Amino acid sequence: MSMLTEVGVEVRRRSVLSAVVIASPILLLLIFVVYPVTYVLIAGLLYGPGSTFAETVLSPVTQRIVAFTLQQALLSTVITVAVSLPAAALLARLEFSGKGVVRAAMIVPFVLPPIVVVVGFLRMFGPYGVIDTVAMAMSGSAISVFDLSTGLTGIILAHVFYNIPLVTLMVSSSLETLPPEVEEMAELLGATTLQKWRYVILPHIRSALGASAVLTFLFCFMSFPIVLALGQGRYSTIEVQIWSAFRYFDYGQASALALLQLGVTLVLAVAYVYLSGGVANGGRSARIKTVSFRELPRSARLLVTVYAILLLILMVGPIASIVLGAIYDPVTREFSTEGFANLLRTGVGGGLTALINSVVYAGLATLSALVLGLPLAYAQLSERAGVRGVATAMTLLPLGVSSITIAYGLMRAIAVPLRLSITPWPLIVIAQTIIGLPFSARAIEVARRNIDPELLEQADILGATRLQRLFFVELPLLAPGILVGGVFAFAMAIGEMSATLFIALPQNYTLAVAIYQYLSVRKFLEAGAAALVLVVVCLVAFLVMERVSGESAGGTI
Amino acid sequence: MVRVDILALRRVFADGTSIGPIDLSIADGEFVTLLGPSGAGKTTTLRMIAGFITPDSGDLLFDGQSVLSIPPRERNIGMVFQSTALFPHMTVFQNISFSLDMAGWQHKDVVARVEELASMLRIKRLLRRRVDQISGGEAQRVALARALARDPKLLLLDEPLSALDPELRERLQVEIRRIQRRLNVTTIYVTHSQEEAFAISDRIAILRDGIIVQVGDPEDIYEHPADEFVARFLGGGNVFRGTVVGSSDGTIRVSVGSAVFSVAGEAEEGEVVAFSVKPEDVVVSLEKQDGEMLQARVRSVVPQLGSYRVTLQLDAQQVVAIVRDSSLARSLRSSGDNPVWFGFAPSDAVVIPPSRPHTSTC
Amino acid sequence: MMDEYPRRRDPRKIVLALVVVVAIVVAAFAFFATPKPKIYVYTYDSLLMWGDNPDTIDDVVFGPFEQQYGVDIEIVRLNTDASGIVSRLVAEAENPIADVVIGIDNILILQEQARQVLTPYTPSNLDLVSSELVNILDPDHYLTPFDYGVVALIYERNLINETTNPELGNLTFADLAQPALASSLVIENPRLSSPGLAFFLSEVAVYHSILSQDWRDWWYQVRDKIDVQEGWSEAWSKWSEDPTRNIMVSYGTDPAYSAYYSGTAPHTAIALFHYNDADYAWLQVEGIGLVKNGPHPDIAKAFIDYCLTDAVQSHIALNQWMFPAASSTTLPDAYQYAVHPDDVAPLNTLLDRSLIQANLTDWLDQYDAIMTG
Repeated sequence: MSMLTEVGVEVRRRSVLSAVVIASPILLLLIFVVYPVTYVLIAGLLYGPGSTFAETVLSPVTQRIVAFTLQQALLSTVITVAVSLPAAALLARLEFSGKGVVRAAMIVPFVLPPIVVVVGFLRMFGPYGVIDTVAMAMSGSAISVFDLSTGLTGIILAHVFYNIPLVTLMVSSSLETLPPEVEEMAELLGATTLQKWRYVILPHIRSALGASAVLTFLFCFMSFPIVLALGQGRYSTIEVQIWSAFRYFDYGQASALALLQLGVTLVLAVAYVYLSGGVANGGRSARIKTVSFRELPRSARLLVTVYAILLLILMVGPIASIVLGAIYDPVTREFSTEGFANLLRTGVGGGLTALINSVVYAGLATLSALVLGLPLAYAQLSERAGVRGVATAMTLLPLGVSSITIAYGLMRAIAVPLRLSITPWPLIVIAQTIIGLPFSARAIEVARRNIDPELLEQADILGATRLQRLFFVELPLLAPGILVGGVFAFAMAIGEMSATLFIALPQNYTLAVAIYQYLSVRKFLEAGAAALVLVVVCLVAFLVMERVSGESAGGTI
Repeated sequence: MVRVDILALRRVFADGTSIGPIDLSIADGEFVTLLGPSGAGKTTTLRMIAGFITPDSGDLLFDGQSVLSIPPRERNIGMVFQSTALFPHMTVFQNISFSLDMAGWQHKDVVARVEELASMLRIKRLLRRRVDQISGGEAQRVALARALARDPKLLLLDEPLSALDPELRERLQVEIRRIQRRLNVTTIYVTHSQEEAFAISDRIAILRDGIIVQVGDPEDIYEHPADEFVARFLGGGNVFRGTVVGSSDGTIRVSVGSAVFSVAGEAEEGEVVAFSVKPEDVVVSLEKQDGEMLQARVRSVVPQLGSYRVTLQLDAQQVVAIVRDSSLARSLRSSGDNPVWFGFAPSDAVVIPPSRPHTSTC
Repeated sequence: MMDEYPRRRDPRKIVLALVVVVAIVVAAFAFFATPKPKIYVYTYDSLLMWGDNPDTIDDVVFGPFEQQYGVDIEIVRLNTDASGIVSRLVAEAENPIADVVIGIDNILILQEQARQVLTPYTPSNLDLVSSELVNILDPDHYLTPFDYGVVALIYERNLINETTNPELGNLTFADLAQPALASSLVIENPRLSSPGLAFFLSEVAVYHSILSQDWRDWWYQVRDKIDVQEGWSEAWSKWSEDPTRNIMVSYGTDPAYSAYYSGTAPHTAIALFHYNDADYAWLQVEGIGLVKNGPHPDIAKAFIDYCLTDAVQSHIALNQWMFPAASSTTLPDAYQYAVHPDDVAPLNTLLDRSLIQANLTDWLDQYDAIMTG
């Protein structure tokens, strides 16, 4: 009898403990995302000052901005998917050396700070950029003849550049899970290549394609720095308008727009959850059907070559221009290592503080994203549908709320009462944690799902306590997933600019913010060097991840 | 080590399928096999005993004490899965020593115990390997060693040998039995292979649709199948079903399709009965011999240890017989479409009770 | 023999070690990153950053005050412009951290929000500043003038000049709307940049008060030809790199800056708007304000007084490239190339403050509609 009661108490204590563990990340998200955002929205909508909700929604300016936001997101998504599909097929099916490096390099654009993308874009496709210089020399013109970097073209091209990795990696890793036998069977049954794609391959990758397209749409829909910098004030997305409204103290308008935005992202998030549920997580098929370049017919080789060159220009061009920008001073027309030297200098304009800040903030943000992501991932796999739903919603929430709104909310609802606005670095870490969390939680969730439940039962039956099981069995098995999630969270955190820019004081500048500062005072070498450091850090992180965990990034996103 | 009493254990699942009520008592040190087709509920029963599935009702006693409220890790059970479920990130040694380390044993005791088990299971040379560097048979030995490491009161084996090739399977069956005897650990073994069950068990419990339909020692079950299902499932046996068309002096005549058989037993005319005849009791010949003989065609002749397994086709019914004469077997094989004769003594046929109707399919 | 099998590493120890290391790093970082109690002065990112020694300028300019009052002054250069600072002060209004704010200008102070976060204060030494300047900035004394200058068009003399385009000598908006000039013009977005807004209001002032015409007409004429950049830096970058864009909205001190750093007569020239025999330009006056409910109002007031003295004002010309507000301050030689605000007729006075206050949002919305239409 007494033994029974003891067991009962222990069971209860254990379930209380697990409830606390699972609830803690949700609670933190409630405090640091839901509460600040709700605070700002409600205060803005109810007390203003500024336009009312009705005024905002009915204004032709708002309507035009909403229309443009949707239109450019749709265009960007369609073009991204169209450009990415061949790349995904090639990545999955073409044998070539250095595939791992390509796969790791592929993800770099996705995690680049937008401001770096803007720089690379202007230098590659902009007036007096690389292509323009060549075109000017060829046409003998003294003035710019070529500009793809500004206006709608520039915005969409930059979005395409940004999201190609996302679609390519997700779709190619889905392609890699298609058993070759299925395709061979289709061929044996007389399907033409086109029919094979139409009836076998497309249905297989449909979920991955859909999920990546929805994510692309979401990112383009929320786009801020790219539109601000390349849109030249003539083009404005909802996010840009929110930023502008905050600057003009029109909190009513900012809140109304944020609410509109939230409505759209909510729909997108639901679509994403629905679609990504169907993405096969089976891991790479043992024998993927691949062909080597030499086996292709001549016409296909030509096509692949042309496509690869165009893709290289689009993807590598901007990054190469950044590298060039790091060592070549366009003003003095000389090569210089001044940019890198600056990264080791302290004081006003020196890059060392920014470098240290970037590493420390992103490191801390990564740790917290993992520590929070772990229980969140477990909650997403909970047996209880309610817990599962809340956890999934919480994980996706940071993707769907504008970072400007979060940053302002953190400032208003957290920093001011705690007098943190003069020492805002904890807030920066929090903001960076929040944007990394969806990625870390997702990676851990995928890894957790792939653990054979019988292993855990074995641990139980062999007498391991919950904690022993966690430390000796689960965590070691989750390690690859934790690594993948950590790398993603780190890359997102170190590249974060919008919220950091909003919160940081000069002593808190990160590299991403410093790049923005350098650019605005025309310190191109310094900006280029800092951007290059970001690119290299991300590339190395993803290479290590690929090597150690054998995971490709695509299955995780 | 422990006596296990399963008392009306029952569980209904969300999809409508159910297990139980199951009643079974397993004596201390006994080796009991749960046998049944896939979907019969063997694994679920095992997992209820392990504590991974909580029953809705009934009770589970270890040495008379209910263990239902005790979590799996405190039940002191060793368990081996078909997949082996070895921890992939550990060496063989670390796998086997897992439960000892968790229990906080001294390192030197751990080494001694692991080496003892490794010698017993002949895997000492593997101890330093990673688990992806050992074969399937070796993996099962490691899994067994791991399950036995902390001297469990009860050993649960869930189809541990199903994925292995026949020769290896047979060798391991013998070994499992040897070790079980030596350690005298109460063992519950799950399999869908009657051969394996007969080879290894003290007693067999046959499950169908979540219910135990018969419990007994192998001979008992083989000789006296409780119902038509058991008879058919145990295979080997020929099971016929037909209508009684006449009866006299303890012999009934049963019409099965176009054929009529004489069977020892009692039944009313018009009643539908089933009866079984063991293959070794069926006589096959090219010519009609004395006694009741029927014509059938030869479907296949398969050589096996010391005999031939001959399958005959009689209308829709297959009849299996064992033939020891190799020249007869050769003739049967080349008989083509020509009919051959077969028959059995009425006293070799056993009338069996009808199965309860199929309630659910899993 | 026993050591042949490695002991199981306890991950709990690894996790514990990790926790300890992280805790130490965080604690150390927090220790170094946590500022000591100070008087905080909010300003925008580039205040006094345009001189020879931006690293030490704060010590040079504000060090004497720190010594005199025994306080630490921290110039917090927020990562934003003046609008962003007001936005921040609004956010902190319940619990203000800053005592003083520098950089809110004569347009921004018209915003209700800007006045709500400030307390009017009249320095005892306000007579150092001309009363005209005080009135252009803010007759209600929410702000005290810090520096000022004209926002005007600059052009690259090598590419375009009064010989190629005589109209540059007496420029009107109508001239500027001609396709050739409009296609050479780079301006800043009035919503995002203060020179951009000054230029926008210049146009409105001219059309509304001098020409009595609809101000929107001009924007309709030029909207497809002019280049609108996000801010001054972006516009400057466009202007200096693209030889077809050789006119830009900038400051009247640009030729002086260029002369000071090149050591020769500048290539940059200024074009002022010429109507009714007078040269017009928009005056931008940047002010210092006392933050409402700031933690140290007395020191803050003393600090504002100090900012009007020569100790601060004498550094403005070469570090801020604006004219110092105190009229007695000696100007460096290079300033002979600058357009002195006193030599132009201010467009500001053509638009009544209350008119701007009431209509600015509406005007900007209409501007957006024209430009994005």
